[in-house]
Amino acid sequence: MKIKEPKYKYNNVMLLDDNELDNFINEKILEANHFSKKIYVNTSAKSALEFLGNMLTMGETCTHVYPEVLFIDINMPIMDGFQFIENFKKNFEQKVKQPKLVILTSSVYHEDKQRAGEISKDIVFLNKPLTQAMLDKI
Amino acid sequence: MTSVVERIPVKTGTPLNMNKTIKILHVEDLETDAELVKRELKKGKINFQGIWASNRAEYENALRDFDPDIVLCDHSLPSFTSTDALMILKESGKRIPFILVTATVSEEFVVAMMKEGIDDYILKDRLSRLPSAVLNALEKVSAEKDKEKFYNEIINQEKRFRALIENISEAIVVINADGKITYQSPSASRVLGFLPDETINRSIFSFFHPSDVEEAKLNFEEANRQPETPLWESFRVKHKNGNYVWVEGTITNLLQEESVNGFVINYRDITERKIAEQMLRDSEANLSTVFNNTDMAYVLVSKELNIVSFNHRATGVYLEQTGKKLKEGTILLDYIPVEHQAFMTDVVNNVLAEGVKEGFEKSYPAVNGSLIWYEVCILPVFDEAQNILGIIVSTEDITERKNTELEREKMTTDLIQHNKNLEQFAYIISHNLRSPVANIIGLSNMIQTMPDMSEADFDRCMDGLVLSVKKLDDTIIDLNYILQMRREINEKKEVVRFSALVKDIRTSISNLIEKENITMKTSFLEVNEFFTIKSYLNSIFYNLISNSIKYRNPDKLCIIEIESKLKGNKLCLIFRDNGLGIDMGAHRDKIFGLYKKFHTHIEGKGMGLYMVKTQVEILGGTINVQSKVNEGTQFTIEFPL
Repeated sequence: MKIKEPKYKYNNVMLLDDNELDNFINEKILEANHFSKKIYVNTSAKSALEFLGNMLTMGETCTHVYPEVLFIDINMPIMDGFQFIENFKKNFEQKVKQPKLVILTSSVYHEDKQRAGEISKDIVFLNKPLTQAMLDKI
Repeated sequence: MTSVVERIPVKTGTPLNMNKTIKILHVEDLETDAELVKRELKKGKINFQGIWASNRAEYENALRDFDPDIVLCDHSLPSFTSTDALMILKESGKRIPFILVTATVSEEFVVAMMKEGIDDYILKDRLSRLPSAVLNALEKVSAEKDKEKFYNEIINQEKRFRALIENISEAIVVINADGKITYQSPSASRVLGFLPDETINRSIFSFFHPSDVEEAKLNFEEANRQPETPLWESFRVKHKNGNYVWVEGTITNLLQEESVNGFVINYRDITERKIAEQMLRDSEANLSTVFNNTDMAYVLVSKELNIVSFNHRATGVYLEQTGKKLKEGTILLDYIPVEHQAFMTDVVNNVLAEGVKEGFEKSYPAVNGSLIWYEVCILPVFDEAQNILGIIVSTEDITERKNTELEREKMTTDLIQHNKNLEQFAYIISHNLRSPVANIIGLSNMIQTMPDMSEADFDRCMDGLVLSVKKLDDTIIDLNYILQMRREINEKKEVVRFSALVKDIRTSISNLIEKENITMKTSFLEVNEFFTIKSYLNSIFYNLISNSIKYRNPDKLCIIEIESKLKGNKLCLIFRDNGLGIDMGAHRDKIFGLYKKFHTHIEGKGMGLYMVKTQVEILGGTINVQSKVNEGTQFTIEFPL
C-alpha cells in the first residue's frame, strides 16, 4: 500500500451490473489496480442511461466527469447489456467522446462474444472475474 | 436371212416377182451341164444372177462373197461331193435352199441327202422341173424363216412375261373353278414359303386362317358372279413355318380367258402394316384408357381458349371447383372461379406467348367447406412446324400431399422452436452456473491477493462466497427439477376437477390471501373436469395464481379471475388479474423465458412462467398472454380434448 497519491490509468469509469456482489468484486479489483480515480456504479441499464443523460446536460463539466470506460454486464432484467449498448450508441455516441465499451460477463457462451463483435469491433469482451492482466489491456 | 424373205414374198403357187433377181450359185464341174441349167432357168423365166463354181475353193469363196439366195449342186465333183457342199453350207450358218442337180443316183442316196437337209433334187435329164423347184425351195425356206421369227418373238414375249411375274414382289396364284391351285408365281413361294409342288392341285381354302375361310369363300363366290370386278380384302394365310401372314390383294375372274381358265389372285404380304395398325390401335386404346383413368385431370384447349377435349377426371375436378360440367366448345375461363380468372388468364397468355410450360399450386374451398389443393400445369401444344395449336391444362389434386407437407412444415417449425428452446435453456443454465462460479473465483482471488483489505470488505467477501455457493446450488436444484419434470410425462393421468384444484391451492396459501385481501372469482360451469396429469395442472394453476398475487398492483384491490370454457373441441382456461402487467412491446418474446424477470422489486427467480409454459406444452396445450402495464394480465391456455 502506497501512501503517496497513486497514479490512476483513467479518471472516470462506470460499472453496470444488476448484481451487487459483482459490482463489489469489480470495484475492489479496479481500486486495487488503480484503474480509475472515480468509479460510478449502476445496477440497471435504465438508471445508467439516465445517469449518463444527466451528465450531458452539464456542459463543459461533462468532459471532466464523463466515464472513459464502461463495464457492462449482459444478463440483466428489463434491459440487458446488448440493449443498453444499442441504446447508448444511438443516443450518446455522437454527443461526447466515445468511451471504451467493455462487456464484462460471466457468460462463456460463444454467441454472446460473436454478437458483441457484430455490434462493433471496438467492444472489448471479458469474462468474469476481472483480473489485473485484463485491466492492463484496456 | 431376212433380206431374202423381204425380197421374195411367199405366196404358194404364185410366180416370183420377176423384177427381183435371184442370186444362184451353181456348183458343176461340167461347163455343158452348167449351160444347160442356165438355159433351163431362163426358159422358166427366172430372173437370176448366176455364178458357177467348179471346185471346193470356188464354192467356198462364192458362198462368202457372192452371198447366193440358193445353191444348185451336182453330186459328183472332182475334189468334193454334194454331201461336202451341203456340210459347208450348213457350217456357214446360212439357211438358203440347197437343191441337188445330178445324174442318176440311188434312191437310198437321195433319202439320205433329204435327211441331211437338201431341199429338193433334180435329175439332169429332167431339168424342166428346175425353175419351179427353185421357186418352191425359196418359198419353203422363206416360210420357215417367218415361222422361226414368229416363234422367237413368242419365246421372247414369254420370257419377258415370266421375268416380270417372277421378279415382281406381288405374288400370283391361279386357281380353277373348283378353287384348286393351278399355278403359283415364284414370289408366292417367297411370301408363304410353300413351293409349287406343295400347293398345286390343293384347295386354296386350306391355306386360309380358319376364321377367315368363310369370308374368303364369299369373296370367291362374289368373283364368280361378277367376272369384271376384281375383289378381295385382307386375309390371314398360313405360312409354311406355321405362322399366319396377313395378305391383301385382288381376285380376278378369268374363267372365260381360254389361256387362263381360272381366277387370278394377286396378293402381297401386309403383315408388318397389319401389326403396325394393330399396335397403333392398341396404343390408342391404351392412351385413351390411361387418359381416362389417370388421377390427373386433363383439358385440351384451343389457342382461342375453347375446350377441345377433356378426360373423366377433369369433369370431376371442374365440377368440384365451380359446380359446372365441362362441355366441349365452351370457354375454359367459365370453369375457373371468378377470383382466379385474372391469374389464370395471365398464366395462359404467357404460355401461349413464350411456348413454355408453367405450373402453380392453388387451393380452392370445396363444396363441403374443406380446402382442396390443386397442382395446375399448363403446357403448350405444338404442330409439326412448332406453331402453338393450343394448351393442355393438367390439374392434380394434391390435397393429401399438401396437408402432409403443411404438417411436416409445422413439425419442422415445432422442432426448430424446440431446438431453440433447448439452446436457450443451455444458454441460461450456462450463464446461471457460470455467474456464481465467476464470483467465487473473483472473491477468492481478492482474499488471496489483498491481504490488507479492511475487515468490512473481508466480511463482504465471505458473505459473497456463501451467497454464490448457495446460488450455484439453487441453480443445480432448479435444473434438476426442470429435467425431472420433463421426464414425468409418463405419470398417470386422472380426472382433475378445477374447482377442487383451486380450493387446494387457496388452502395452501390462505395466509397470504387473507393478509393481502385477495379476491378470487372462479367460473367452471361450462367445464369443470379435465383428464390430465394432476401435478402439472396443479403447478400451472399455482404458478399463475401466485404470480398474480406477487405482481399485484399495490394501489388496487387484487382480483384474480379463473374461467373455463369449451371452444370447439378445445378446453380453454383463462386466468385474469388486475395487477402490474408486463410491457408487451418490450418483452413479448421473453415472457416465458427461463430466469426472465420483469419486475426487479419482487423476489423471484424468473422460473414460474417458464415452468407453466413447459408443462402446458407437455400436456399438448398452448399458452398465450395479453397484458397492459398497470391494467393487468390475462393468460389463455388451450388444451385439445
